[in-house]
Amino acid sequence: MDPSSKQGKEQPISIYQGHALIVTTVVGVGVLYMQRGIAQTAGADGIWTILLGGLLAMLELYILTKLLQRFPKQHSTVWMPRLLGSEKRSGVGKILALPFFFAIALFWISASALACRTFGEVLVTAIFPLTPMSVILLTLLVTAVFVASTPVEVIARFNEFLLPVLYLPVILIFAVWAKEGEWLNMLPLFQLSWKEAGLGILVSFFAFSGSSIVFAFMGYYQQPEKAVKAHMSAIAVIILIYWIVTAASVAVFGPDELKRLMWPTLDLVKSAEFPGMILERLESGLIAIWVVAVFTTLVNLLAALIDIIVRLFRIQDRSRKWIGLALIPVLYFLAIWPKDIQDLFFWNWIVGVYSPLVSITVGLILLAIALLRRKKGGDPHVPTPPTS
Amino acid sequence: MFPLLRPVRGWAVLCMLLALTGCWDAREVEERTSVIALGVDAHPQGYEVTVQVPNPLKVVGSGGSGGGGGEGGQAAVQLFTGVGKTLNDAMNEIRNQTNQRIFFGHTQLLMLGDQMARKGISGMLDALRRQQEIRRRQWALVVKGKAKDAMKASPKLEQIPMEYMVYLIANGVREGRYSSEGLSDLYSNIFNPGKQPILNFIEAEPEKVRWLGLAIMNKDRMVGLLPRKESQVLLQLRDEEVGESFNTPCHKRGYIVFQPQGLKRDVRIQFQGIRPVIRVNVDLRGEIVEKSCDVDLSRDPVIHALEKQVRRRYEHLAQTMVARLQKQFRTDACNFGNRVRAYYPQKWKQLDWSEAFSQADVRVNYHVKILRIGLEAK
Repeated sequence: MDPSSKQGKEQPISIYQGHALIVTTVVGVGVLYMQRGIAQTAGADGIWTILLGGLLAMLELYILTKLLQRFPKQHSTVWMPRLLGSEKRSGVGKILALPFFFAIALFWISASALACRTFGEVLVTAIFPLTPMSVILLTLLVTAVFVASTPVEVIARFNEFLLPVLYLPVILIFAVWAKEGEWLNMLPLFQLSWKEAGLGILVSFFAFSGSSIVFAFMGYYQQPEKAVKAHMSAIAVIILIYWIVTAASVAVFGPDELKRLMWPTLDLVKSAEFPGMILERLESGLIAIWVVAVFTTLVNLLAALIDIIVRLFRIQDRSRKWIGLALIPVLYFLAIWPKDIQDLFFWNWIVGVYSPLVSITVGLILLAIALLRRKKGGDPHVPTPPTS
Repeated sequence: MFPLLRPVRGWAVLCMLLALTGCWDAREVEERTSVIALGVDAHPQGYEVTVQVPNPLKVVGSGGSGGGGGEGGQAAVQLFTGVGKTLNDAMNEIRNQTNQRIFFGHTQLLMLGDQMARKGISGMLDALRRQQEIRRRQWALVVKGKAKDAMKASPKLEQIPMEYMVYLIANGVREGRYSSEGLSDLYSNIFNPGKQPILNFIEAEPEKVRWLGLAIMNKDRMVGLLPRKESQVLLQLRDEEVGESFNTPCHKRGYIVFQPQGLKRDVRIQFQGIRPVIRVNVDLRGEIVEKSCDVDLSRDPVIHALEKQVRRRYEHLAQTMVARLQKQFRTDACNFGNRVRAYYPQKWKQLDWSEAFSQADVRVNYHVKILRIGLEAK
C-alpha cells in the first residue's frame, strides 16, 4: 500500500502548502507600515538591511525546520514531552514541555490580536472613519476563528488557494515604483555606522515574525524531509515582497518623507495613477486585497493555537470550534487593550521582538537537548495520539 | 456546524442578514458635497478657505436637464468660504454652510494665494497630510492675488471653471511646458533636504486663466516668481522637460523660431575645495517652426549657423536663470543639491547647501540639433 495514502488523514499538508503557510502567515498587516520603521532606523539603507534581516529570518526558520525534521510526522505535542521527559514517566516531559508551548502560544495569541487591531486601525483611518473599532474587530475575529477551527487540511488548502492573491498588490507596487520612483532617492547608500546598521538589520528582521507556526503544522507534513527547501523558498518570497515594498517606498517618497508616513504602503498606492482615470483611489482596492493577507495571518496563527491546545489537552478534534469560540473574548480583549495608536505600535514592536527571540531560544534549546540526548523521531509510524 | 445553534439557525441567519444590509460609513454619491478645488488664502485671522463645488443639477448630461444643455461657468458651481485660525477651523465654517457632508475625495486642485505661499504653507500642508480624504495626486498651484478670486473666474470653454485650470495645466505638462509637480511632489520636495519645490503660478481673469511662470519655493515658502521664458529653461534643467518654442535672432535681420522636441540633460558636479562646480550639458533636438529672415534652410552651413544661434540663446537664458536663482532667490530650484546629497554624502554633511549653491560655479552648455524645418523646403 502506498504510504502516503495510508497517512492521508494524519499527514495532510503537501510541501507547497507548507510553503504557502509560511508566506501567508508572515506577510500580513506589517507590510502596510514596516518600511516606516526601517526608514527611521536605516534611512535609504533600509534597501539592503531588509535583505540581511531576511537572511536572519531564514536562519531562524532553518533552526526550527532542522529541529522539527528530527521528528518527522510527529506532532510537537508528541515529540516534545518525549524529548524532555523520561521514558518511564511521560507526565514529567509533558510538564516540562508546557512552558515552551506557552511561550510560543503567547506569541500566536498576541500577534493575532494585534494584527487584528492594527488592520482595524488601517480600516478606520483609511475607509471607515465612523465604524466602531469593536465592530471591525469582532467581524474579523469571528470570521477568522470560524475558518481557523476547521481541520488542518482545510487550513492548508485555504492558504494554498489564497497565496497568489498576495502577489497582486506587489505587482501593483512594482509598477508604481517603475513609474514614480526616483533613483536619487535611494542614494546615498552605506552611510550607516556599524551600530546603526546592526539596528537597521534587527528592525528589518523583526518584520519577519510568524514562522513559528511550523511548531503546529510541521507534524502534518507529508514529506518533512523536503521542508527546508519549501521553507527557505517561502522566506525568499517574503524577502522579495518586503524588498519591493521597501525599495519602492524609498524610491517614491525618499527616506525623509517615508519616516513621516503613518501607512506608507497606502500612500504608495495613492501615488499611482491609473490610466484613463477609471480607478482614482486605488488604496481602497489595495485594502480590499490586503484583507486576504491579514486574514490568512490571523487564521494561521489562530489555527496553530487551536491545534496545539486541542492536541496538548487531548481534546476531541471536532471541538475545535468551541475552543475557537472561547478564544474570541480573549483575543478581543487583547486587541482592544492598546489604548491608542502609539501604544499599538509599541506592542507591535514588542511582539515583533518577542517572536524571533522565542523561536530561536526555544529552537536552540530543544535542538541542543535533542543532540545531547541523541533523540530522534525514530519510527514515524508511531501513531499520533487518538484524536477522535 | 454548531449543533447547539440548530434550533435558532433560522433566526441567526436572519439576524446576520439584517446586519449585512449596510455599513456605518455608507455615504452615497448624492449625500456628499464633492469639492473639486480647494483654495487657501492668508487671512489676518489665519486662513481663508474657499471650495468650489459643482452643482450636479446644472452639469450637462445630468437627469435634471434631460441630457441637454446645462449651464456653465459660475452658474454650474457654488463657492463656499470659511475663515479660521487653523485650516480645519476654516473648513468647519464651510461645513456649517453645506447641506451634505463635505467630501474632498475628488478634489483635483489645490490653489494657494500668493500671500499664503509667501507666508509659508507647512502648517496647512500638515492638515492636508493628516486627512486621508485628500488625494496626493492633485495639482497644487500658486495664484496671483487671492485663490478665492481666482475661483470666481469663469472661462467659457469648460462647464466647471476649475476643470479649465486642471486641463490647462495637464495639457501644458503633456507638452513639457509646465511643471508636472503636484501635491505629492510638493510633500516630498519639502521633506527631502536636497530638493526644493516649484509650483505652477497662474493668474486668473474674469473669463481667462493664464500661466505666468514658476513659483520658486524655499521649502514651504515661496520666494519669487520666475518669468515664463526662464521657467522653461528651469524645467529643462530640473525635470528634462522640453519647454516651449523660442524665437532666436537670425544672423541676418529677423527671427527664426525653434521648437524643442527632445531633450537629454546631464549634470556633473565636482568640488574645488568646498566650492561646487556644476556643469550641465543639455542635448536639445527640435525643429524650426517659423522663419522671418532671408536664409536658405536647405543648406547645411545655414542650419549649423542657426544651431549655434539657438544654442547661444538658450545658454544665455540659462545663465540668467541660474544667476537669478543664486543671487535673487538663493534657492536651488534646479535640485543640484539632491545630487550632492546622493553622490557626495560627505560633502553634503559639511556644506550648508543654500549658501554653497549661491556661491557655486554653474555653467550650462547646450547642444542644439535642428532635425526638421517643417513643411517648407527652404
